Amino acid sequence: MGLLTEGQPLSWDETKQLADHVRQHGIDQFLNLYHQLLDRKGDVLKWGDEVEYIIVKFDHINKTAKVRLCAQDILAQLNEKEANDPHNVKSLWRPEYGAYMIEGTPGKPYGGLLAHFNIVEANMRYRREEAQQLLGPDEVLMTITNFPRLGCPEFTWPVDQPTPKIGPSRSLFIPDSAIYKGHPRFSTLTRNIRQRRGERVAINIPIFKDENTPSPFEEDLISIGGDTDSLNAALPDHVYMDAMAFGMGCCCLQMTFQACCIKEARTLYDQLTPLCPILLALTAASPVFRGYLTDVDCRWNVISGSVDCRTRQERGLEPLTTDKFVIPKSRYDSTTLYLSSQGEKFNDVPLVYDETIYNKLKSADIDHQMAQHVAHLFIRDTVSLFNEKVHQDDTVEMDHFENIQSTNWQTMRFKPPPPKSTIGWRVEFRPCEVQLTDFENAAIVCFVVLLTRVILSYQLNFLIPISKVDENMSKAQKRSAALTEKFWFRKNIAASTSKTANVNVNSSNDDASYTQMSINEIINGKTGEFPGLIPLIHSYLSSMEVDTDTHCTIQQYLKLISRRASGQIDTTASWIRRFVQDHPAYKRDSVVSDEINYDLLMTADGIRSGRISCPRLLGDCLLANSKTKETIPPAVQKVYSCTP
Amino acid sequence: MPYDIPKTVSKIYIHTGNVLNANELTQKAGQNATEEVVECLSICLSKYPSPFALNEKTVHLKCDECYNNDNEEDLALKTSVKIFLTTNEVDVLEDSLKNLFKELNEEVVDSVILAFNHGKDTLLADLLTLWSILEGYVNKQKITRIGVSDIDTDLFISLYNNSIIKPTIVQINLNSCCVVPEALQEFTKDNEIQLLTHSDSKEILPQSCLAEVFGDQTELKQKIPKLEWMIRYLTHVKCRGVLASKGYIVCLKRS
Repeated sequence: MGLLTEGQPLSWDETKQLADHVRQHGIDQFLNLYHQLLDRKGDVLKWGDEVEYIIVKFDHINKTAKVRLCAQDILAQLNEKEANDPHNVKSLWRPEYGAYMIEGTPGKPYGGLLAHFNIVEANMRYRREEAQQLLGPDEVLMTITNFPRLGCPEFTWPVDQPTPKIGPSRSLFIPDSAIYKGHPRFSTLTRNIRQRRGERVAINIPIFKDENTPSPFEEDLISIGGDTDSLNAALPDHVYMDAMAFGMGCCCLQMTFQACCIKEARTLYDQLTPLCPILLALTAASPVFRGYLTDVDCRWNVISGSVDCRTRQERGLEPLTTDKFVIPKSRYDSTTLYLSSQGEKFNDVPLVYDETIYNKLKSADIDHQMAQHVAHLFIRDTVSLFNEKVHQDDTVEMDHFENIQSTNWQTMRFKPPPPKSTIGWRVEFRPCEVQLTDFENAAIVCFVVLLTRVILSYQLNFLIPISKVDENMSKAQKRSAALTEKFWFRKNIAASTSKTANVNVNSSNDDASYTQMSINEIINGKTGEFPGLIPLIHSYLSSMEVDTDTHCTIQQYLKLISRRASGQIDTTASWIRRFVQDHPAYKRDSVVSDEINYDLLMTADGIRSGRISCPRLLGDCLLANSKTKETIPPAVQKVYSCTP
Repeated sequence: MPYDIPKTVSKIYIHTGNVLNANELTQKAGQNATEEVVECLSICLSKYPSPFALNEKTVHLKCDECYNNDNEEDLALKTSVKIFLTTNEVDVLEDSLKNLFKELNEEVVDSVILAFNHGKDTLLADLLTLWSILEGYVNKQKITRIGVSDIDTDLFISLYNNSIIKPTIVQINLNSCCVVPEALQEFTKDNEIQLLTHSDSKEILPQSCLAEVFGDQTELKQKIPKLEWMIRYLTHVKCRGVLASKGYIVCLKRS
């Protein structure tokens, strides 16, 4: 989840006093790097996925499932392999927020051949098996976006109690042992975010009101140690959560692409921005929080609230006296600014940014949009600073810039090349929820990467006013959004560079350039109005050299996505919701009990492994149908040397 | 839109130019290969004001490069070509290759895949005759790799065993990409031949489609030209999975 700097964390008071120091030096570091690397060109496509996993411990006698707090041990073993053979390992493992989570990526990035799409799933399988082998007999590595009973009594193994009055979280629900302790960053962030905010974080997600759900739905917080802070924060008819773990303890599926140059990176950043809510709705996988069925399908707002370090003044609840800005969004939220010249006219949301920083960047020859972007990221204070890293050489180091950059968790991330590396300008796509199976995750990853190739090949334009993207973000999280919501989407996506289209360039900002479409129409097309993302990918593929196995695999992936979009098969969230509601022990009271949780996760693992077939979730795209392979065919490898 | 071609003309060459960013095609993404060719030819003919080279017998039409990729840098590009023949006559293949290099203005083409006229009784000898022409271009270093499309496995193996320059690509229809004949799979694997997919129908540009392009008035039907060969070229940016251009060159014959 971002930069992992080793060292001794400073206290919040010390950190706070150095906020301007970090900002100033962060900007100097950015300026140095930007000017050095602005003209970097000709980088090939490299890309990779990141999958986050939860370790679950099953108790088959008592029918319970708990999160297993063993990530530190597992990671130590996994990282040893990497340390011994850093260039040849097939996977890389990193810590995540939860002491029950790990994050895995391929050992090397994938390259610019179509054949690379066929090794994604095999590598995901390899990773899963590699980590699974290190777990105990009743422990399973799972790709679930949210552990359904996270924050319920005794949800961890070993069992631990929350400590509402002491520790970094001070949660009524989450013991601090659930936070990964192998690195001080996570506890420090937790403490600092809470202290900066001046109170516990407060997340209220509307509960799904079933027949027997009490109305109003209110919980007895006092008996579990609730104080005025929690009593004021908890809303009736909502599932109330009060700790960073509820959000950062969720799992995501992310992808990063290297662009050929900064211009292409800015284009991709912008073009993928309107696709974020669409992919969020399509990958929705988290309808249950803290043991209750909720009225949302996605993790997004939960994470957003879980790291919302804004003070009451910054949230606009009190007049600004000591703070500088009223800030409309949490550090974790959707992007508010397009970066390409094409996107400029669609930036219709007032942007909060630091004017001093903006002016400094402008006078150092950074263009208006990039200066705004950086000055916008830099309205935030550092929330994690290490003693050893306070003083840096701004001509070679980037830690202060990365400190702020990596704690702005937005739907897209624009990533400058690291100093002194062979890596180019990159863009990270961050909205997707993780799916239960490697097949589905590979499908999503390949779909998004293929879309980037389609966008660049046909010079497509998906831009709509950024305010409409924000609207889509909140729609995307609603229950069954993939099936029932309509999203703002651009109608005429064809390149506007043709001679004939140039005539109409001024009219492209018309209301008429976008309309409301269902996920099905966006993905599969609407006759006479919109071609659909999958038909566009098919067109692209028919113009590429694709080997038979890769094409077969991609076809299975596209079939899965097409059917999810059309509602022929369930999204993960709908499937989970249905499973809970059809469970014999479910009392129509929104409660996902230990027993339901156990059965849900056992079934999910059964589907993942292929022991249980589930056409409702996967259609007839049986897992075995993909022709994924561990390596690229030698015949392809021989002709092109695009493997990084 | 019917397009008026002087009666004296017996051969028509049409080059669509780069159609990659044609709005009409983007909006109709997902149409099959034949529909796309028809669309491209129609666009080209509707835009083309008058032939630029005309003599008694042949006419060359080339659509302006209407669509420009705003590539600022020197890109590493490679062009792949597929030649569709309606007859396996040597002259026809030679005519297509001659036009390919003339129209593309390129020194070297990365790969050429031959979609020859599949009769049930396609003889190895006929295929080898065509193949020797491609081999000639490889020897002259005008083409780097050559291959064939939709070929019976046995015939392909014979071609491989009897040719001097071996095919390094074989294309099969996308519909069968999940069920490739085992013999073909093994042979291509053992000999490091690329087994690729295509989504072209058996007859890439049937007469009925040409009728659509040139106007479908019944009384004119006999005057509607027939396809002799068609070339589709695709230019890719190396190692980036990005298309840089795509176009069609078609040769039509009117008897």
